[in-house]
Amino acid sequence: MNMTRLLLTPIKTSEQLLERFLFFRRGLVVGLFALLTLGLIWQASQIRPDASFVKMIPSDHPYVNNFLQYRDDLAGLGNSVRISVEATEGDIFSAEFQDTLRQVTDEVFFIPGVDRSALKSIWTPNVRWTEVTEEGFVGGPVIPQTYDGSPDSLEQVRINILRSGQVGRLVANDFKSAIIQVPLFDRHPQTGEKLDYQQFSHQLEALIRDKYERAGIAVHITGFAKIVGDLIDGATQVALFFAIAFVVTLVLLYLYSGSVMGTLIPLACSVVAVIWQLGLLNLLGYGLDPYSMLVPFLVFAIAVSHGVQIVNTITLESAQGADRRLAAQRAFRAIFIPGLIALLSDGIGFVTLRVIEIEVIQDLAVAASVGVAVIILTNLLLLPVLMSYAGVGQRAINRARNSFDREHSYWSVLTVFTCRRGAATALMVAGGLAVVGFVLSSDLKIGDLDTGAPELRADSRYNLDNKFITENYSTSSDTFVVMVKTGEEQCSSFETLTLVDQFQHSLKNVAGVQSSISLADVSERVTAGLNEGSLKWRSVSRNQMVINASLAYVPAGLMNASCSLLPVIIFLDDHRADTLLRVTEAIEVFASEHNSEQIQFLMAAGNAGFEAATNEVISVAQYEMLFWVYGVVSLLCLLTFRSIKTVFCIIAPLALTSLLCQALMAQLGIGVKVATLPVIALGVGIGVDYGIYIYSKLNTYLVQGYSLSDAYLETLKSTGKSVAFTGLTLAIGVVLWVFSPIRFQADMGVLLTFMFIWNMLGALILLPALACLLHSKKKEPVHVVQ
Amino acid sequence: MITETNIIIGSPMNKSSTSILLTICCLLSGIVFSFPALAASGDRLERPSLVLHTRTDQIVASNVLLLDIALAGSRLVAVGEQGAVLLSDDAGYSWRQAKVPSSVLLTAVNFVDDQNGWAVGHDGVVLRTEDGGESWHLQIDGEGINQNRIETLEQALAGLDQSSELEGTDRETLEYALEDAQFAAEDGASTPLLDVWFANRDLGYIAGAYGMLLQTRDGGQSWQSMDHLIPNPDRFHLNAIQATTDGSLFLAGEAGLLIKSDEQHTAWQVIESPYEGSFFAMQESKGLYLMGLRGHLFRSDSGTGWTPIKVSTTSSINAAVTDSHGQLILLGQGGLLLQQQDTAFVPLAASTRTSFSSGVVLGQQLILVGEAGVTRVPLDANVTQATVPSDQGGRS
Amino acid sequence: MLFSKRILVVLDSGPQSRNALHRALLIAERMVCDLELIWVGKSTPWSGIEADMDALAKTEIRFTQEVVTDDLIDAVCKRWKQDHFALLVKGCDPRHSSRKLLAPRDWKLLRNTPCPVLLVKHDHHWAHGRILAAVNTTTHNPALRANNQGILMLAGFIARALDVPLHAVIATPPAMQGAEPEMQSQVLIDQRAQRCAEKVLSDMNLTVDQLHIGEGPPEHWIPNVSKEIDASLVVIGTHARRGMSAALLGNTAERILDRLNTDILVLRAGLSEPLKPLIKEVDTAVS
Repeated sequence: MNMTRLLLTPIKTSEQLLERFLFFRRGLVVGLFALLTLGLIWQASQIRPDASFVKMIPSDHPYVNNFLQYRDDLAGLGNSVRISVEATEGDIFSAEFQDTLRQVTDEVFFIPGVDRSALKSIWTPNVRWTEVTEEGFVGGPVIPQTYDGSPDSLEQVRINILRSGQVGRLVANDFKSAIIQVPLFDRHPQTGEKLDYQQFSHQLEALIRDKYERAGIAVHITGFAKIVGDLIDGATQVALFFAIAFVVTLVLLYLYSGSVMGTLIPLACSVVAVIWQLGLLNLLGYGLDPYSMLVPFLVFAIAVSHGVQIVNTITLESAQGADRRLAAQRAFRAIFIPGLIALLSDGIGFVTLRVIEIEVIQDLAVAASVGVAVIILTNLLLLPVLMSYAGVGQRAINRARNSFDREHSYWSVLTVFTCRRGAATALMVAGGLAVVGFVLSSDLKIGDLDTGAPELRADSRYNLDNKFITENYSTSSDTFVVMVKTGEEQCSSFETLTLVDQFQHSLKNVAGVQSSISLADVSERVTAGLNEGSLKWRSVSRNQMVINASLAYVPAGLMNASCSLLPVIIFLDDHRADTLLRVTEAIEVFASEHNSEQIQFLMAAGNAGFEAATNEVISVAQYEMLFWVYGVVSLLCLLTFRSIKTVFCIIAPLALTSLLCQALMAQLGIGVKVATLPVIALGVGIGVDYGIYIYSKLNTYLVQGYSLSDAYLETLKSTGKSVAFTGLTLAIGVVLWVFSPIRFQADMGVLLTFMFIWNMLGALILLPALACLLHSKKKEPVHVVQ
Repeated sequence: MITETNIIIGSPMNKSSTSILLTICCLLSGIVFSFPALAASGDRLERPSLVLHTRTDQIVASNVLLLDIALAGSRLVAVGEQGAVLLSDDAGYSWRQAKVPSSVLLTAVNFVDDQNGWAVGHDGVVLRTEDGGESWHLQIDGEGINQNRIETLEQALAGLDQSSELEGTDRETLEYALEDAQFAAEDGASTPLLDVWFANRDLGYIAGAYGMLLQTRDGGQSWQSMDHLIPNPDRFHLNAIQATTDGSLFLAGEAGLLIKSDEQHTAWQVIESPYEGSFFAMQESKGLYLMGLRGHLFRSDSGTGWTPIKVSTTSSINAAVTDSHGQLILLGQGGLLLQQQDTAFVPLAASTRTSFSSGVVLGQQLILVGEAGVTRVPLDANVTQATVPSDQGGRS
Repeated sequence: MLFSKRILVVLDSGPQSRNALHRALLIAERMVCDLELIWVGKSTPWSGIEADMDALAKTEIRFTQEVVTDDLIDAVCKRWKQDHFALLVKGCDPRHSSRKLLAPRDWKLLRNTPCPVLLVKHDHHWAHGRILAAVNTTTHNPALRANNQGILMLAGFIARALDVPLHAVIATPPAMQGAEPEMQSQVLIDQRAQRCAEKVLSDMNLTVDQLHIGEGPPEHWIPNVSKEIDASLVVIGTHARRGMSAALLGNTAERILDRLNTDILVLRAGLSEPLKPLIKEVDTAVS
């Protein structure tokens, strides 16, 4: 009892003070909120998209650390874009096509953010052909000086292309398209400015695709920068969804409450919450990335669901005769504890996402917890004050009174779960579902299961472009880069090159590896070239002078300036998690057998390398996150209800939903990746609200001595409708994401909708069932009702 | 090992002796088994070739560079990079890998019968098999060759005044040669060997870079350097050895070098070359053919007068095989694959860009090796365009 | 305090000043105290109450009168420093608006006067009505509990002295989900309030005629009950919050002033300790 008092006293004191303040100084309160809202509207309007390459990869993983350490030496591997210009009729050997290609190359040259010295296309001077003749090597730029668009010139170009080894790289295997390889600066070397991906992507669209695409010419663009640009653009569509969600919620809320004010004010407060959330985010220095831009939806939905609880309580109080101010005040007091605890558990549940060391998820955690904190202010504090001015309206009150008077409520159907037989049945079904869920979720895979950019849909323009490039060129878009670190000037030693050669050969045994390229290949090929192209010479020479001669001209990105780092670029068939796992394991084995002071094989760079790191982080993080979320939420419930059985009644249905959600993910072919990892935490954090509200109300009847069935019926009659409505508003808030062009938003939408609906069902059915079975002893009521 | 242990345990010995023996056996086996691991991190010359896992049932290791292929009876033996020696007993449908104690690039292979064969490659590696290619052992390597050369030249200098064997050589040439040999020895085992041919189980020749020529009369147990005995003062690479039906030996090499020997292989003389570019291969098929850089092909009846044959390509021709009708099939760089039809050469199969290094005709199939590993091309009685199941890949 | 036997009467030109003077007179006669009259405000001193002043002079009560020009609160505090008085009597101002930036004068008095304050709103003798004590027995706060006792003691004393019925009114807070079990339902809350009140009364050996327990903000419930029982005096406690907390949270006693039409005797929290033995002493003296 003393423990109870200890926990409750600060809450109750704060409630009393708050209540006094809110209802004594209503005008002041509203004025204050209005002022803050204005200020935060201004802040919110300044929020900008903020997508950085480094934010989407784990922030503290050995692979990423290695990459960041040698980032400057890995030219063009981190960030580049490929633009493929296609001749849809005929092939590239036409004057018109070549002219277009030249213009596009020139156009790209001048786009800010492009690393001009590393720009490559058949029209850039750094792409050359070489050939062995009787006199030795000859070579020249692929487009000769004498090019004039004539058929002879074009024929010369064709020959040069064949001699340059660029078929499959800068020129398609079927000669119907050519690529311009555009490496980018993540940060401008002189000004230090970050690359604005959205602007860059728009420039690509405006200056390249729109300008040059026409009958006979098609443009395909791939690369990380384009993905991000498309993501940010897709985000603007998300704003449309918000509008739709708002309207639908408005209509449903009116139908549910029958009160104009009881609809408009909660919605207004929820919109204010969203504004505050965005404004505060901007104030804290965050931007919007494709993940955190979904948070306003969640904030809106959670805010509305809590607002509904309060309006519902106000209606009930009004129906019992209180005037609007009294009704609001009573409702505030009544709902204060469950509302506060529910929101705190949401907020703290989100904060636990910060254990995942991927910045984009940590930012999501901040955005979401700021949003929930704001809801406490707008929907728990402001809303009752505004309602005390407005009142719910006579219609709502009449409706409430009618439902009191009704003898038989259709909610009584659910009370079957409070009797032993019903409860046992429900629990057995739940148990069966749990087993099924457990079995199905064993198929759950980490990471990506599809080709192309996972963030976008398979039929998005980006992925279609990506498919085009993968089909027509020889280099896969899934690259895994191993950084081989040697002593200074040692990267071209015989020992280094033969060890790298051996390494690459050993990769042939790894299923999923398509091919690889490194400095060793350059040395071998040029050595063969120095011997008239004879294949028999394609080996690393023991003679260091021959090696040096073979490495006189090395393409950018295969070694660094001080010859202490040589990357091995491994092309993979795909970036599926099992492929990545095989590759990283094989490399680990090789590295452990061969690493020494002189030479080390370090992982990893390249998009597949980052994905491997991400997969590793996620596979650990998913359990950590679950542990924290469930731990925190259970603790809060324990502090609120001070009974372990109660906590179990509330948490067990949540656990079932989490399990079923994982099974759903496995069946839908959605892997656990950066986007879907927070979903379960969100589902738990938000889903616990139902249980808290229901159980709080239930308890008020139980302490008066009602039987579980009667208490539950009363609870449902008063809060059941709002709980169901909560489930609905939450689902509406997220279900629209399914139509997003951004695939991970669609995935999150499906999963969250599922979780919210299942959580609601679990709270309505399983909670009483568990309560029935756990509280089998007739609890001594506090005071028998006379 | 295991049987030994059993026997030892079976005999009446006390427990401690048994356990000591067991420990020793374990240690020994541990050392033996760990040898590969130790050697694995060693020089490529001493490192056994990595076993490649079979990827598909059909063609294995399409991403392994293979440079030569030979028939050992009805078995196909292909050699290539990283010491890969691949064997096929079903005409090239499925392949398995032989145990090879070295991981250097192997450039040529030759079998005299279905059991005995030799393969040569970079770093002066010479491998011998006596069981049809299943297992190979090292006969000599670059260092041994260097040593051999130095010794031979020193002996030659010493016996300069006496023997008339050394026609056309003088002291200065030998001294230069000796200096070169000593420099080469400092570089270590860095000599690429480019071709091998054996007349029978005992007599054989190896040609290599920088004018290297080796002879063995005992099946490869010992080798003699013959560089100084052939007229190659500029030490051009010797790319190919061709034995002709009349018993003489031709050496074709860099910068148009063409050397012919007599039937005893003692007198070697330079043949006037029809071309100043490199020759990569020779083939005998109703006449002698000489081919090489930039699509050059020449024919001669006896080996001394060569007439050019027009081939519409500028890609280097790496090798030629004869089909069942005696028609020549040329193969080379950039997927070059042409079949002789009367006087012209027409493409044999759908074009591919990966180069071919060598090939062999087996039944109705042409089995090619090159950049894309093994490629099988069906040969019809009527030459039609056949699809080549080529995989794109390899070291891109 | 009480034994200082002085009553400070604040007079001004407000409508209730005469009533205040009458009331002070009645109390002084009954309790045998001195009166100290001070006049505040801008209007002519003692205007409108000359007749009552003359009447006062004719009684045996000793009184002093003074015109005070500085701020009322400062004057009161100065007086207090000179000599503690037992009670401050003033006519209640007709309307107290909370909207102004500064607190109304009466409120300031309630917050700053170190002794009980009687605000007079009518002229009827207390003996013709009932005494209503407003307490909050559900609190756990020891200072507030002591205040409750003080209020009850004072109200009980007055009721006994005048031989009028004593009522007590308790305003209970609304139900709160998630709080302790007995706070979760209105019925239980009322029951608990009843129990606590009965215990307090029995501890003090007091009886009340009726215990009015009701839910709702005190500023609604107490006036309702007072109207219902036709009370003539309401004895109430106050937190006497000042400054910022008063601006934000306010004091219930102050807000009730306008809704009651009885006299209001306000007891500040913290005053009750010294009060108890004195009341006992006076009680025995009077009875």
